[in-house]
This record gives sequence, structure tokens and C-alpha cells, in this order.
Amino acid sequence: MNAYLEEIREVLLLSLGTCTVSLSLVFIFGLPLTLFLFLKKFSRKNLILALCQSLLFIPSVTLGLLLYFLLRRNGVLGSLELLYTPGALIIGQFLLIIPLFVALSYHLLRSLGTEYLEQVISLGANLFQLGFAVFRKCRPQILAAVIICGSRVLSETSMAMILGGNIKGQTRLFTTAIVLHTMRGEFEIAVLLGLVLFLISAGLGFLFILFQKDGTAD
Amino acid sequence: MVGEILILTLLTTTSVQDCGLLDKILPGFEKKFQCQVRVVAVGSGAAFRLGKDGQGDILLVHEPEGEQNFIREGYGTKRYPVMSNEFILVGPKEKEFKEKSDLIKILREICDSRWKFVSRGDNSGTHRRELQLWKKAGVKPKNSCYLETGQGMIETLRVANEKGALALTDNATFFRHQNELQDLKVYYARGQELINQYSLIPVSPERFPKANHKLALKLVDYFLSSEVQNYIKTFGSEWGHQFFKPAVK
Amino acid sequence: MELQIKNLGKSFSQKEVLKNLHLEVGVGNLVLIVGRNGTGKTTLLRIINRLERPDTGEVLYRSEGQEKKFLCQKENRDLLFQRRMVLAPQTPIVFPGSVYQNAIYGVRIRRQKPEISVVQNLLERFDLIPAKNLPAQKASLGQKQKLSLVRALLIPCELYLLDEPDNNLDESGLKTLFDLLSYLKTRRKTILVTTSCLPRLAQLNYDHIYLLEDGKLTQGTKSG
Repeated sequence: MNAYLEEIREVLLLSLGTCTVSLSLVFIFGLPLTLFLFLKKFSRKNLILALCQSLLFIPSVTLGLLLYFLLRRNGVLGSLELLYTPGALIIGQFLLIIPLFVALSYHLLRSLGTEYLEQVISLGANLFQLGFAVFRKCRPQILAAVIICGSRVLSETSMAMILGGNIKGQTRLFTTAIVLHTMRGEFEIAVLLGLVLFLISAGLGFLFILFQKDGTAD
Repeated sequence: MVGEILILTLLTTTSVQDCGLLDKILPGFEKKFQCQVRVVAVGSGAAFRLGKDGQGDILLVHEPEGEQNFIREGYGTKRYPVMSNEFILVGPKEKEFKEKSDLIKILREICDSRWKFVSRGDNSGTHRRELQLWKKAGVKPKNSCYLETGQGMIETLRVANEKGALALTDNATFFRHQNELQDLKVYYARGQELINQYSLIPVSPERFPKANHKLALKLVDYFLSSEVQNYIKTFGSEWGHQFFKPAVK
Repeated sequence: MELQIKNLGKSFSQKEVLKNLHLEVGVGNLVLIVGRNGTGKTTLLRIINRLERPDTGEVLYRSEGQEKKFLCQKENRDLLFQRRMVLAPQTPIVFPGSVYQNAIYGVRIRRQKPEISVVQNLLERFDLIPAKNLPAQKASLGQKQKLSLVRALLIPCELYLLDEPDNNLDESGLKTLFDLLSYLKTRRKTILVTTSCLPRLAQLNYDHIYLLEDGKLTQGTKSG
């Protein structure tokens, strides 16, 4: 039982840890990016927006494959020695959810309207200050978007396996651990992990509903 | 029974699967006996467990202690050694051990000099042998230097390759995939402690009446036939090595 | 800041709003632009504030004592330039937070510490002290208008653009506005004010007055 608890603890720390880091990065850079896309007037804007939206439909495993070839020893970024480390997981997670976050927040900015943004710009805000102003105005909706992204990250399996290598205590997440133990016939620990993951997801779902209600009550 | 294909479920280890030997040997058997061999490749520990659950007809494993227990507890009938190979220690191309010949001293050096070591960590035959060796040397690498993938041999070797770490592997898997494992070289081989014997164990028909015992015995005969044993001897020549020693000369 | 606007043209969905518009504004000038609704006053201010790009023509800026020659919008793309001017829109926008926090927002964005006495003074003169710590979004339209003006006028910059500031402003608010704008003039600040209701702004001490009609500006004469 002790071994189970240890595995659960390690997996929990890693899953929540990497998720928190990638969500924070998306939150910090996602809004300014969306604002840039929303406000900047450039030629063929519609084409570029359509391309960004299409990123949403790329399977995560393809992203994992691409990153694998970039990050491996012989790869372009091989000297960073990132493959099979939590760093690779975070990079993968970040790139995975950023199109999702941008799509959700773009939709939000549309409903917010340009007047609000223009006043903040007129008062002299830079992109990050603008993002913060948007956050303050639409806090529930943005947090709901973050939660959706978090849930996506936590359920990601195949990319996490490719980039992490499923190394015990280092890159083994809930999803990859469950796959591993199930394939090895170790059903007790697999079910325990599944339960914990389920509880976390349910918690996220609850928070999401809470934020949605906050948002509509405005 | 007309039109029904006979299926033989072979529970084996990933090392055997990864080295590619089964892909060469089994088709001949399938053709000869008009059947299909379903290979389930897991770690030795899992193979034993699945065997005890009645999920297979015959085991091909390489873990003498586990095998004895399996038979003693009545799950299997008899051990039929079919071939043996060697474990080797592989590691980063750029480095060297100080100690060259004594395996126990080497293992101690690994821990003292904080080499990174990647283990299969999956209760497989390779993993159990690795644990036996650490036990014999009386040391084990510190947590930060010891990585467990929980997966098969080739996945573990890939991690070792990527991270410039050491690993214990069977020679067949390593040499077969050497093209991918460009940053690894052989550090130590040819020790008595590293010999790895593979045996076929049919599951007990008393315990598992539904098991295909007749076909299982036929597989044993097939493996031990001079034709197959000769093939086993030559397997690996395209990679410049003899991987396996046949059980029958 | 000096402005030189040449040949400005802007259309929205086939409708030409601004057409060959010319305007010159000197440093420390207070310019009043009068026009009926929909004549393009807001568009003109937005173009000057870089929120909108003109179809033809250009806007040239020259800060006092900083540049030798006029720079166009393309050369003035960075944030520092944007911060040299501010626009208070027709419909006031307020942010989450108290009235006080809204008022100092522009100052804080520039990472400066607001001088509390100055802020208090302005809020008092616009009769906003009672609402100082209340959520700005709950304020009345008139209070929001005053707040929008306070926020803009607190900002230390060179060019102030006020779009119909007389909207929703009571008489005392108007008077305070006039006093403040006069004060800013003495500090060599350039101010552009638009309105659709000239009589209300008759007391404003402007330097030049223009009529915006058919997309063009015609200079008016100061009466009295």
C-alpha cells in the first residue's frame, strides 16, 4: 500500500506541477497574444485567423511527434537536453493549449467590444497591461477558459508519453501512469490513480460551473 | 471446428518480442499447424501473473526463480530451456569506466561516481536480474541518478540514449536497434552473472482445462527442433553478432 | 505638441466620412471642433489617437523641444509615443474598481505615483468625492463622464483629445472643465475638443474654432 501511496504522490505532484506551470504560461502570454491578434490590423487577417483556428484540430499526438524530433539529442534543439524531462512536458502542454486559450479569449474579446480595449490603449497601456485590464473586467470567463485548458492538459496521454518517456518520479503523469499499470496488469494502482484523476477533474468541472455562473450574473 | 482457426496464446517478455526473433520463427509454426500464435509481450512479472490468471496457453520467459515458483505452485507443467543470451551493460559513448573487469566493482563505481542509470522498473526478467545484481553488489544508485521507465527494453534504451545514461539490456535488443541508439556503446559483457536463459513453460492443463495444451507442447517441440535451433544460432548475423545460444547443440 | 494634418480621408462602408481634411494645431492651442452628429468628429480624434488608420493623407506630430521635424504615424509607432496623448471618448468607459482607482488608472499605467492631493483636488472640483470609494460601474452616467475626464486630465501628456466632453455634464462640471483646460493651456498642453452643441461650450476659452461638415473643416471666427 505504501508503494501505491508513493506512486500516487509522485504522479500527483508531477501532473499538478506541470499543469500549473503550463497554465500560468498560457495565462501570462495567451491574453497578450489574443489581444495582438484581435487588435492588429494586417492584410489577410481572416486567413491568419482561420489558420490559427485550424491549429485547434491538430491531434496532440502529432504535436508530440513534432516536438520529439525537435527536442531529441540529434534534433535541432537537442543541446537543451529537454526530451524525457518535465520541461518537455511543459513545452508540449503549453503549445497544446495555447490555440485553445486564444480561441476562447478571442471570442470573449469580441463580446467585450473594442471601445473598452481602445480606452485602455488610449490611456497608454502596453499589451500586458491591456491583458491585465481584460482579465480584471472578465475574470470569471478567463478563469473558465483556463480551467478548460487545465482539463485538457490533465487528460493528455499520448503526447505526454512521447515527450516524457513515462519515467517514474520524473515524467510519469496520471494518464501515462494509468496506461502503464493497466498494460502491465497492475489493476489496483491503475484504478486508484483513475479515481484520484477523476476527483480532480470533477473538482475542475465544479469550478468551471462556478465561474460560468459568476460570469452570467454580471 | 471447420473454419475455426486454432489460437495459441504465448505469454512472453518484451525483450524477446523486441529482438525480433519471434517474428522470424513463429510464422513457420503457424503455417505448419494451421494456427495463429497470439503473442502477448509484457514484463516477466506480468507474464507470470497473466499465466496464473489463465490468460495464456504457454509462457516464454527468462527468470529461473520465478519459473520454479510458477511450476511449484502448480500453474505450469515443466521448464523447457530453448535458448540463452546475455545481458550487457551499455552506456554513453563519450565516457569510460575506471574498473573494467569485475562486475561488482563496476556496479559500485556506478553508484559512487553518480552515473545515471536507467532501469526498466517493470518487474520484467531484465529488471529482476538488474535488482539481483545491485543486491549482490550491496549498493544501488541514488534516486536522482536512477530512472525507472516502467516500460520495455527498447523504450528504456531510448531514454538511456537520450540522457547519456547506463542501462542493463539483453544483447539482441541492443544490437538490433543500434542504428537508433547512436550515443550508446557496450561497457561490459561476457560475465557469468549476465547469462540469461529462456524457457518455454506450458500452463498446467489440470489447473486450466481450457488451455490449448496439445498445441503448446507442439510449440515446445518446434522450438527444440534442429531446424529452429540452428536458426536461433544464426539469428543476429546480419547485425554482426550471435545473439542466442541454442539449448540443444 | 504640434499637429499637422494633411489631406486626411476616411471612408466607412462606401460612405466618405472625412475628405481632404486639413488642420494645423500649434503648441498650447485649444481647438474646438463643432459638427452635427455623424459628421466624423469622433473619427478624426480616433485617427489622431492612432486608433484608426486614415485611407488617405497623414497626421504629423512634433513634440516641443524633442524632435526637429514632424513625424508621421509610421515613425511614431512605439508605446512611448502613444503615451504622449490621451483620448476621452464620447461614451465614458469605466473599469472595475472604485472611482478613485479609475481616476488614477492612466497615471499608474505609466508606472508613476499619483499625487494624492492633486487627485483629491480634481475629484472635489468635479463633485466626485462622495463617490470616491464606491464601485465606478455603479456611478451615474454624469459621474462616469466626469470620471472619464478626470482620468484623462490627470495624465501627464502633451495632447488631450476630448470627444464631446459636454455630454451628460452639468453646468458646474462644465465650468470646472473650462477652468482646467485653461490651466492646461498655460502649461503649453495642446487640446482638441469636439462638440455637437456649440452653445454649451460658448464660454470655453478656445484659440480656434472649426466647423466639421462634409468631411472638411472650415475655420470659424471667435465671437465676442
